[in-house]
Amino acid sequence: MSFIVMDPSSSGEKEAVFEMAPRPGTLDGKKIGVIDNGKHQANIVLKFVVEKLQSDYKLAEIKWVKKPSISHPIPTQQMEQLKDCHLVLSGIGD
Amino acid sequence: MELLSNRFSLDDPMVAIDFYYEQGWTDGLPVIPPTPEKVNAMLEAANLFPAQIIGEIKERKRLFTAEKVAINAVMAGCLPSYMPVIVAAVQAICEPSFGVHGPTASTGGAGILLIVNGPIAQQLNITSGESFFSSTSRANATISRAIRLLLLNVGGNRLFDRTTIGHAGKVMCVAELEDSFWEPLHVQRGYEPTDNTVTALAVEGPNQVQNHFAPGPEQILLTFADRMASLGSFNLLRDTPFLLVVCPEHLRTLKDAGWSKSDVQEFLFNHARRPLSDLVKVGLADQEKLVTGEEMALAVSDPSHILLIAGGGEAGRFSAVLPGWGSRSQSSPVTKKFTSKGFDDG
Repeated sequence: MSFIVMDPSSSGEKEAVFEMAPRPGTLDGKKIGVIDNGKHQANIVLKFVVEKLQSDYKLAEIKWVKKPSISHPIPTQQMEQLKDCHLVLSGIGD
Repeated sequence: MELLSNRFSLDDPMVAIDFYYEQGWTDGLPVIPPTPEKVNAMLEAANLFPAQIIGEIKERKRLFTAEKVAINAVMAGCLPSYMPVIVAAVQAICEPSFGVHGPTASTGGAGILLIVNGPIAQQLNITSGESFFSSTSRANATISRAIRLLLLNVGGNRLFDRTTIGHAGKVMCVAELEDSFWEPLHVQRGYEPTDNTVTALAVEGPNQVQNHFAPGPEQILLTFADRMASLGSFNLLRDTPFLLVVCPEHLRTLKDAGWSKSDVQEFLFNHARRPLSDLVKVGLADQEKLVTGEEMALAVSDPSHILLIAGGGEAGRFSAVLPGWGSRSQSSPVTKKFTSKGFDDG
């Protein structure tokens, strides 16, 4: 006897397509964006990483934004601010 | 109706139960195999077509179609008459202000509480009395389960949930014990008494608070306030919403003294606090925050952030305090109205 049942799952009707962005090569002369996700002391970790990058490379500019909510996506306005960056530094977790 | 999901042909229902376990589609308990007939019955009960979009979690790129909601509702053991409640609950948690991604991924392990108001609660036998959080009512158990399965199988919770400890009430469904003295939650939030609504909020597990001896309202509320401001709670200094479930015996004391919900909210706001120095002592706040040494850490930042409902059995002076999750800017309670038949955007 054939008993038909339905699939309850979905990995997302809107399938995310992730492609690796082209590598910037050297960071000399590049603009980097930094997204502070708003978690306690995230700025300390990010600052440490940025200072390391600054000592290794001649960065053209560093743009910081801080997300207003730790659990919502970055607002469009902040994304726009970072649009002209060659790469963006971010992180997850506490 | 033509369903769009993949389907499987199995030997019989018992084989199907094992199959769903093998596929990793359960919550640890056996599921009701979702046949096309059962799924269609769910859709018809809420006047939905399969591809209709009920909600989405944008940041996870997860979409909840009516069909997927219906399939998971069947698996949970729901009756078709529950479907309008379930659909409204999905709509509520998908509101941006609920911010479902946060509480369901957080190490903080929040659950989702669904509070049903309106005539539908009695019609569907959703418990508001005895065994408030441990009801054996089919509606309480399966409506909450449907949301849980949906978040696991479609919402990405299996991938994203990083709960450290959590609690057994990952999703809970209750009804408010609507009392003529205390304005029901949905009326406070702008709906008519005869409207059917579901209010979703992210919460920690219920903290039972007893006071069997208090002669008056203040003593009962001071007991609640103490729990609201306990050390190690996640809400101090965070602007977190709160829910309190006040049992009938406690409510009677408040009623006899003429205390409205706003009186209670005001009192709790003023008393649910503790010296900031307590938090500094255990590393929960920085020393720099202490200037005068008299600073207080508040459980909530405004009386209106404390939601109050009556609920529980007639006997016993046990109420419950449920802290919310994070801060209100990350996740706020959301109320959705629905009709007993049909999809309602109200």
